[in-house]
Amino acid sequence: MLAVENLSFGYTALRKILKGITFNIRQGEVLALLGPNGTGKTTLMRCLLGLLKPDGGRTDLFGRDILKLSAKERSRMIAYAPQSSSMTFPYDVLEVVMMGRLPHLGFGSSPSRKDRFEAEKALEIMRIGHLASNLFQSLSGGEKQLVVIARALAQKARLMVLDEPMANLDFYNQARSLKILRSLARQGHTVLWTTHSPDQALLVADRLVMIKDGQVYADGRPEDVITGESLSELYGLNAVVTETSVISAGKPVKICVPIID
Amino acid sequence: MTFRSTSLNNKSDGGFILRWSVLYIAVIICSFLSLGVGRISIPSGTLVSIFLSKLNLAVSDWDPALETVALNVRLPRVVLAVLVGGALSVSGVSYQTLFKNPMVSPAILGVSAGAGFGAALAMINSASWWQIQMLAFISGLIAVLGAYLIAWIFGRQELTALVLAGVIVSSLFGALLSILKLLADTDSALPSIVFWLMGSLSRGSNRDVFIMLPALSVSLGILFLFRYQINALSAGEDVAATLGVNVRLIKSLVILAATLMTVVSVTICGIVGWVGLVVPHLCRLIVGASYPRLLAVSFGVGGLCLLLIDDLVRGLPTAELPLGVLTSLVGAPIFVFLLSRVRKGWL
Repeated sequence: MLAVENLSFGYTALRKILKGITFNIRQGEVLALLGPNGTGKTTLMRCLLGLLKPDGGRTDLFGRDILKLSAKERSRMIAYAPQSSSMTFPYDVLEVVMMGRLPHLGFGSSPSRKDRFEAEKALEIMRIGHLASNLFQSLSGGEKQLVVIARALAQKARLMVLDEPMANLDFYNQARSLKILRSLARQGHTVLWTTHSPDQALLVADRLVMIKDGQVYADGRPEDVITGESLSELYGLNAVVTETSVISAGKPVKICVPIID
Repeated sequence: MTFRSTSLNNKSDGGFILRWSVLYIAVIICSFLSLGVGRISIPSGTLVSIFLSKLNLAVSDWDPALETVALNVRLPRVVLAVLVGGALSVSGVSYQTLFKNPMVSPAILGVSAGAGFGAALAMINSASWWQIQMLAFISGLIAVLGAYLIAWIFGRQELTALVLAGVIVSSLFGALLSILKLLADTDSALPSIVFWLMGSLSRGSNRDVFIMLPALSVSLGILFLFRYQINALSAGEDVAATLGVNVRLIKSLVILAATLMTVVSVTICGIVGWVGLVVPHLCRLIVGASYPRLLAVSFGVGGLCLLLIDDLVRGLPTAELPLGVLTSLVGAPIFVFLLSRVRKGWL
């Protein structure tokens, strides 16, 4: 459904951040993007979302060039949960999640009861219904992240793009969010998610794309791609991947451990 | 940890519509009573009879001078107080939401400074009142265009660049204004420049009402149609864009509408500060941060505030204090109160 072909981008002509990225996502897949800090994961996402105009290459969504879609059309197809979020003014949580219904509002009209229902449902899925009338700004970093994911859910787009959604979450909420990613995929959504945790990618991703220096370093099933060698090469350290006897998400768990000497 | 003024903040739609109705009924009643306020005070009973007589429902048994004062002198002034107060507040709310900045006022892009310079320029050349208004209007717009142009030369899409450009333009026009003050005739031009800069509704006429109304309708219409898009901008430009907002278009429309309302207000009554800064915060305390709701209430709250302050101007036994002076005198303590209410919640 999403095909990225030879995408390149640089803020200046001399220093390219993305150097010819090619990959695609199939419908219903959970794709994790893994790569060291500063390798262009967020830049890649911003290109896919149409927030940045790439210098070269193209991105097709459902066979249509993403740059030729209007902002509104795009917003019905791709939902985005940014890494961090702040509201200057005292919005409450429900109001923030209701913003996710904007792509479905008619010109000049107000949100309907159905929009409110969808927003409340998204809060329930994230198990934060009790926060609905709290001020967004008074929440902890992790709670804010859950709200932002709820807003993306309320958007009801088929492709969900999440920028490090687990970054501020506690152990419980990480597990819960991973489960939500899986169940979204089962409901026909497609998920693209950046992460710094190969363990989490092994746990729930169907596909893994490793980005290094603005290029695709590896692309495939996580259990094939994530090896001691690839991690060592990607991050420039000594890492080991080991299979354990623990079963989670229906398969034996593999863990990645950096060797610290 | 959550700050929530439950007594003031009712989010249910029914509660909101009730509050909204009470607000606008209060605006209408206060406007009516304000017709009686001034050096010649008119009892409300007489005011009712004057209006009824216009509908041939009452017989005139009062001094005809009262009727002239109420309908020809005070009515346009009272209507203008509501319209200007409303316009400045709505443009303040819109700019604050757009720029995600609680310190922003309608003057942010240099409208007031520009208009002040234009008015002073006209006064130095002993122009007539409508020429003064015309020049204030034009140079107010030139200032905003200048700010826009500077931000464009910066070459960035960021709103911060625009705010900075507004500050630059304001200080430029402020300097030019100072030169004009130095050059102005100290007996005639200088006092009128100074008086204009402090704001006044005393020259408000029916003609001003008819200038104000179309500008206001167009601006409010635009802001109303795009209220949810503007709301989304408060989550940041990137998020708004991924929610389907044409960010560049909405930014331009907000700036256009807010500028139009502000420049017409300044043209009519000179520089009236504080209303456009304080009323948005007052409204947020009542209905929260949601822009559609703020838009609905800020016009009424702003109109009511300026109306009451102008009543003070007319009602105080001293010589008429300038409107802009009183808005600051009243606005400053209210702002301090608001800051203490919201504490570190969001400012």
